[in-house]
Amino acid sequence: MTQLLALSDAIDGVLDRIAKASGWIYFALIGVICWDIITRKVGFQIPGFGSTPIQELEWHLHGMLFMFWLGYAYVRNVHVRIDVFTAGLPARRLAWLEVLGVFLFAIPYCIVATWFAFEFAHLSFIQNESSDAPNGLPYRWIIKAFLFLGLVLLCASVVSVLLRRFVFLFGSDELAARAMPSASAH
Amino acid sequence: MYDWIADHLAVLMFAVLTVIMFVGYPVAFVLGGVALGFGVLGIIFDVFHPAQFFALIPRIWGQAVQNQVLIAVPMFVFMGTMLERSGVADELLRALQVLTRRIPGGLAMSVTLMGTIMAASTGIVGASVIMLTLVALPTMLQRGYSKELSVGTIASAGTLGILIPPSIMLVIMGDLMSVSVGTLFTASIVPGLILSGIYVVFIGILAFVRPDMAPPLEATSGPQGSVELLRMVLRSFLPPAFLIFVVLGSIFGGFATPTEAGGAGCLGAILLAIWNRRFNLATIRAVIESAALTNALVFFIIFGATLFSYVFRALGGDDVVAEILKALGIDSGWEILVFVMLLVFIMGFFFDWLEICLIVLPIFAPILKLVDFTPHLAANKDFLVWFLILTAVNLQSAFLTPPFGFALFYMKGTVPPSVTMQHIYRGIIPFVGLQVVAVVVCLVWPETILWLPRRFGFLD
Repeated sequence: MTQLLALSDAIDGVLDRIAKASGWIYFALIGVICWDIITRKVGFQIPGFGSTPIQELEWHLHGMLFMFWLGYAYVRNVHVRIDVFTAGLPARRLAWLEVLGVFLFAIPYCIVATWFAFEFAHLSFIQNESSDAPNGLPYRWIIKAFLFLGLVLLCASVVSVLLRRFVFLFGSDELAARAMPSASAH
Repeated sequence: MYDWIADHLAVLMFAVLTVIMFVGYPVAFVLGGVALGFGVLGIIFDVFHPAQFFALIPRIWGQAVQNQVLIAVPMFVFMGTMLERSGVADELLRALQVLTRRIPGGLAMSVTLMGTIMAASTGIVGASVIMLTLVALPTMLQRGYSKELSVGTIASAGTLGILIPPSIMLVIMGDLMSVSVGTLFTASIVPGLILSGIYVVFIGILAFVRPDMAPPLEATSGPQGSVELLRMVLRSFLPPAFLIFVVLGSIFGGFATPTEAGGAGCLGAILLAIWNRRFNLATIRAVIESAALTNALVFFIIFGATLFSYVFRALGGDDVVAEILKALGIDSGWEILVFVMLLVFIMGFFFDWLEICLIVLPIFAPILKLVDFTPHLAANKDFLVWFLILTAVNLQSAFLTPPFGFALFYMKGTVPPSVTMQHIYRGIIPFVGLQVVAVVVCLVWPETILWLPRRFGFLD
């Protein structure tokens, strides 16, 4: 039990660090958008790096930004839930519902999405796919690999959430309180 | 029986989704999980091909990742969050309070104005109502405002923010229905102003007739001399107001796409934070974390909803919906419009706009593209713009209508114990009445929605 909780904490820690580090992409994205506006209004562009690759860079950056936060958002429990009828249930029953949800929805979703995302990036790599635009960004597989990576982190977050509920439901009182401090408080 | 199920899998899918969402598991996972489950069922019933699973990731890719329009969402969220966390928003609220202190009900009016500006930072109605409740309710109660008026003002202001630009709901609606976001932004201005206008007038009249419900602030609060007042306006009111004006103006004037305006708006918000001497590492970290989490929750639902509508469509959902509407005797444009509006209204009791827009709009989009409204609308091509803004206005009242109203649940979870559900219901009823007026106005006179975008040349 203690090891399971330690593993969950470790996963959360890794997700936290990756998310926080990748959060700085926000500033890069703002910078790139502003750069694009200024260069186009002024009419000066770095030769060979005009508006097309810059605008592609925008969605590349945005893709990385949100994909690294998907799993972290689950661990932090910010994903939207319709909990009008379940919010008042006892903590143990909520934990059971979460376990049920993980097995019914999250695990099939994660397995299928991660698998196909791998195929998707792999295919792009084999074909050495580039942008459709003549002067767009090359190496499309890089950003596609980030989709796969983001989904792997999402899988990790599902494992962490599941472990935490497991320790909460079957561990000693002391471990349960450490697994889910907020639920044990009341 | 077998054939019936095979033909109606899409309807079952919609029904199952609606029921299961109430279990309280994250909606994004439920959408994806239900989509996969019905994909497998479709294979069993021989109406879905296993190879179609290969299209799932490319769909998500095209909808959520390789999408220039939707980059406006994280930009507006960041802009709002930066204004909020750097104290610019607080100072704006204080400046508004001082400026309106001699007007009856000024404090409530400043909350209405504030809510429309700040909603972008939270992205969704639930969070926006919680934020406004935390920021504004204690002050209002402390100044002797009645509980009913306080909660009514806050809940209506929190939901109004999703309609008035920069609204990320309009960005997503426009992207889903292939309508330009600039058009939707301009189209929402007049209805938004009508709504906030009648709220402000209502608050003013109420405060005049019943001063006990909205006592005026003492004239001694805030700066006294006109120099001091002028400094406050220059420092706290003008900069953020100018920022919002530039961001929206550049979109309306056609100088910038919403994504560009959002990026420039972020830069402006950063500059304001520096000007406010609050641009430090702690603020930056808090802004990034809050904005990136909001952005992730929005895009994860887009992931799930994309999977859901793909499988729904692959199972023949479009035909089934058309068939059911016909069986119900709903085939003229008005009947379809009223049906969709009612559906959206009922869903608004329980779901935030993200789920409603991302699930309902793709389902009805093919039918809506066929209806003809020419006698009522000058040109039928403007139908979608009118329809989407009408939906947005309709959602306002859906979120607030007792006994369920989505925004009310969130409010109840945040208010101090002295404010009961009774206060919330009583406080919200006049605002719902005003919203119904706005919906009717937009229905009867489509020009309230279409006039401004036409003036700016968006409808040519």
